[in-house]
Amino acid sequence: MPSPAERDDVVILERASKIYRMGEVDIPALRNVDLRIPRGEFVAVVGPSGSGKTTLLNLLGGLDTPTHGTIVVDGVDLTGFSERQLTLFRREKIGFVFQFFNLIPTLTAEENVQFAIELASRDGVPPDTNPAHLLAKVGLGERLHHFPSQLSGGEQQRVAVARALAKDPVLVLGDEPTGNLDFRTGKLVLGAMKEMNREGKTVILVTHNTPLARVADRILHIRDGQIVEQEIVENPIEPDDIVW
Amino acid sequence: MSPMRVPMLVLKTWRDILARKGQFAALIVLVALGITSYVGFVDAYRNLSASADNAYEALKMADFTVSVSGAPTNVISKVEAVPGVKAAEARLVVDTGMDITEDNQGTVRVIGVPVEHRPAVNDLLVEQGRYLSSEDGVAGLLHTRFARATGRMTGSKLRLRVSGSAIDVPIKGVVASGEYIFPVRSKGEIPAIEEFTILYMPAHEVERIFRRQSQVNDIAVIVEPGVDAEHVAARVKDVLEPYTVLQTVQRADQPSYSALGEEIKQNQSIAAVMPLLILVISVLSLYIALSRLVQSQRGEIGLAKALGYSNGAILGHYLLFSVIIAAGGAILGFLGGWWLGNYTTQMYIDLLHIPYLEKNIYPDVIGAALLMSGFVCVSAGIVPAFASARIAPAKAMHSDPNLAVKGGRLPLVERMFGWAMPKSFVFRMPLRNVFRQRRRSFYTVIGIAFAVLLTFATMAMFDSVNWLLNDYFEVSERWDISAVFERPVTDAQVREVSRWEGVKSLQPALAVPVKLESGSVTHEGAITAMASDATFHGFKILAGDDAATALAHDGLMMPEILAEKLGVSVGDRITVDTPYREEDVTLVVRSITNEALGTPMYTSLDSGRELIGSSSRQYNALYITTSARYEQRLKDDLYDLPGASQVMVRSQVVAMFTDMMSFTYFFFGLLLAFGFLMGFVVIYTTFTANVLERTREIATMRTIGEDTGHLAVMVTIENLLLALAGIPLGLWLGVQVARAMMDSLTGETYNFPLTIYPQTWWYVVIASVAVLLFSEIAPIRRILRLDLAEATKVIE
Repeated sequence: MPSPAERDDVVILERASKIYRMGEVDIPALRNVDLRIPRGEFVAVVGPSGSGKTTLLNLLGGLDTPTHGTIVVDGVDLTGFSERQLTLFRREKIGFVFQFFNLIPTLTAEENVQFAIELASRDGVPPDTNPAHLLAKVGLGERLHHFPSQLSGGEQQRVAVARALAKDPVLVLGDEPTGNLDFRTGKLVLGAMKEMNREGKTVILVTHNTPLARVADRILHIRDGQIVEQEIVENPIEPDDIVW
Repeated sequence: MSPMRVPMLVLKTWRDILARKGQFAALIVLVALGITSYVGFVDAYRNLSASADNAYEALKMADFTVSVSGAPTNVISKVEAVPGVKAAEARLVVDTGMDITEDNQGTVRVIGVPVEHRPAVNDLLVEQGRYLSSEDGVAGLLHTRFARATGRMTGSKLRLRVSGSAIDVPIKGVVASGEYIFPVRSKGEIPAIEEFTILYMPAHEVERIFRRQSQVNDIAVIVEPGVDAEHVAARVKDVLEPYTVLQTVQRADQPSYSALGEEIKQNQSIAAVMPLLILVISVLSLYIALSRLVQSQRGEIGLAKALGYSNGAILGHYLLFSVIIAAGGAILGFLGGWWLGNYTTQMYIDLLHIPYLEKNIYPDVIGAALLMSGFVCVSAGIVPAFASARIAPAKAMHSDPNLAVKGGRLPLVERMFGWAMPKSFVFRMPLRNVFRQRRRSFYTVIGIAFAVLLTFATMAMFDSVNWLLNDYFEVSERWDISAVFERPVTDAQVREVSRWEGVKSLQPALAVPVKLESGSVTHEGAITAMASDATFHGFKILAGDDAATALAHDGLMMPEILAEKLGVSVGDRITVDTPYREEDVTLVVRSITNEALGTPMYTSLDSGRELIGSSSRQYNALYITTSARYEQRLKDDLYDLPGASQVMVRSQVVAMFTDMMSFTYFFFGLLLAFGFLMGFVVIYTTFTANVLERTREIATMRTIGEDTGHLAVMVTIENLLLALAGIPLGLWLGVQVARAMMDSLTGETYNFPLTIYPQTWWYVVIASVAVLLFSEIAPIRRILRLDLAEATKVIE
């Protein structure tokens, strides 16, 4: 195992905390979390509701900023970032896969992917990706011109995976991406995410479903805003082998 | 005793409203605007109408008057004996000059009144001082509007100019009169408050001053209730025939009565159109907002049903929103309308000084406002409320992510013309959004169109009035000073005046009171005889000869509206009855003209002489062009001429008219404000609903890296696409409504062709887009404030 100095960590959290103020009461959602994730790792985050999984994901994705501590993603320290800087950070580095798919209903499958490419191209070099290829990769090569309303839930989520990949992100974040899918389509989506990890993408998957987490290289157990256990999965299973 | 509990669904209604307070406030304001416009304008015209009726009743306004050239005072007993006559008053009425200031003169109508008793017809309300008595000698009661405008109250004096002599008349009282609420001499005349007034003096003093002993020339009559005034007038006219009847004027044609009637009619039209427009928009906006509310609360509805609430309770809950908006709108609208009605009525007091002013609260108007508000809100809310009651609980509680992607399709316009459209998503997504919620887009387009309609129709009316004034003063009336005389002006006097310093040109004319007869239709008015090369009046010929040809052939030039009334056209012969000749004169209609104000007719000087049965040249009007520095002096000198009854300086008339138009401009301003406010609320409501509905979609776009600037541009493009449909529709509707309004105001007094200046189109379009952009601010701020982590998980 390489030493910390030699490792290429794409995510570094140091004593990161997030405290929400609800009226007069402070509610700590994340407490002094230290975490390093090397490039190319598939990490699953599990824990009960309210444990801080989504807060962790939001901080990593630049949707929120920590109250204390530092977060560095791909060498970029997000501490003190403005709204505009966070938007550019998300645009350039993060691919999101949401629980409810969150496709743009007025755009076709191909256009939803193209939209992400256009965004990534706006301020820099266009990613070397092609919507048709990406959709073909997730098994939707024949559904390019279908609108989301004409796709099943599983197909929509696979479009979302293709969209996440479109900008060639350094980090793909999935927040319960199978939570709204049936067993069979859930496995298809998970397969697509596993595939992108094989191609070198760092993937962080938040899930309630512990059996499903075993597709990851490492499982982070969160409780009360703290990582209480880190489990290295010696032999990550393939999505097809999952039983839940 | 346990404390009273608020039912949970009522509490929920209240909390839901608080959570969307901006949207609900906007809807209440919109309904309130409709009610305000209804209550305000109805109150104003009812107050005005009631005040005028009160004045007419209390001050015994004549049902008709008959003017004669001169009759003995005892003719009154013959008139009183005519069946159907309830009361009659014979008066001597003479127009003469007066000193307004040391160097400014005007015209005063001197009317003889009895001193032994109050007039039996056309009585006066003494506002200050006292009525005249037999001991007064030379004394007068001055019309309130002139007295107040010039500060001539009781105790002051008014100097009359009678045939070059000055007579100082002590003012014993300031009076109001039903007959002269609008102090004008003829229909369509512009009131010139500081230039023309009415002075009531003891009858015997008027006879003495004007050397018409025991003579009267004006008989005012009130008829018995239920009797046909026209029939009685014909009988009275027969009685007065030996004394040369000049004119019979029924109350409806009485200048002041008719002018006030026009004001009331204008208010009535606005009261009918405005609330209708605004309330239709209210229904649409309310429907959009409540439908959205029901849609967004599907889960809550399902839960409420699962907990045991009945369909009726759910229906009642969602109807309660409508009821609250209706109540809020009605209360605010009534208060606003009451204020507006009172404010408008107060403006009438200031402007017209109507005696016996009424400022009432009308229970039927309150009732109608409540009913309207309730009907509008409940009819808008009933469909969404029923939709809420029909929702199946299990289905409603299931969060279906597919609901959020409903409606995505390629619109026909993009399928057909997509090749020519920008490829950018920043354009294509708004375009598709417009067609995604077709019904809502349709309502938004209608809302924008109605707001534009109101604004544009108002601006078009404004333009038409401006055009009318400009046309009248710049095109039709090409003189700087006009003078009218009560006795003939000779050629020698004309020559003398033309030599006065400052007179650039002088054109004499002869105005003859006439009665035109064509079949069973008659028209009483005046024909002005003028030289064929005279230029003091500009003509717009619609049919027939030009002015020079028509006048050279002794033809009659007649305005279109009169030709239509009499059913005559170019080449027709028409019978003209004048008080100066026993036998009728026949004139040939040679030109049909377009006149902005009134129904002036013109003929040649030869025909004029024929009308008065004179072989020598006679005039009773002079039209002068001069430069500004000579205007005042010439006016004074003209008043000093014998028989001068009215001298008008055009620039002063224009200034007074502009001043008088302030009230009309107030109305137009109000309508414009309503239009803009309505446009704002419609767009604000629709776009707030749109943004709320697309919370997750917008949050997703922001999450994957779209910046707020581009999102704002997308919202704006979507709005502009809707405006692209709404604005032209509104402009078209505005033209139709403005035309209908102008047509309803066009008559013998005003001829309002619909006129829209080119810049008005641009102003309205630019202002509409500006309002649209302003209305977007709140929905866009909502986009900026979205909590992305939360919003990407919203179930819509």
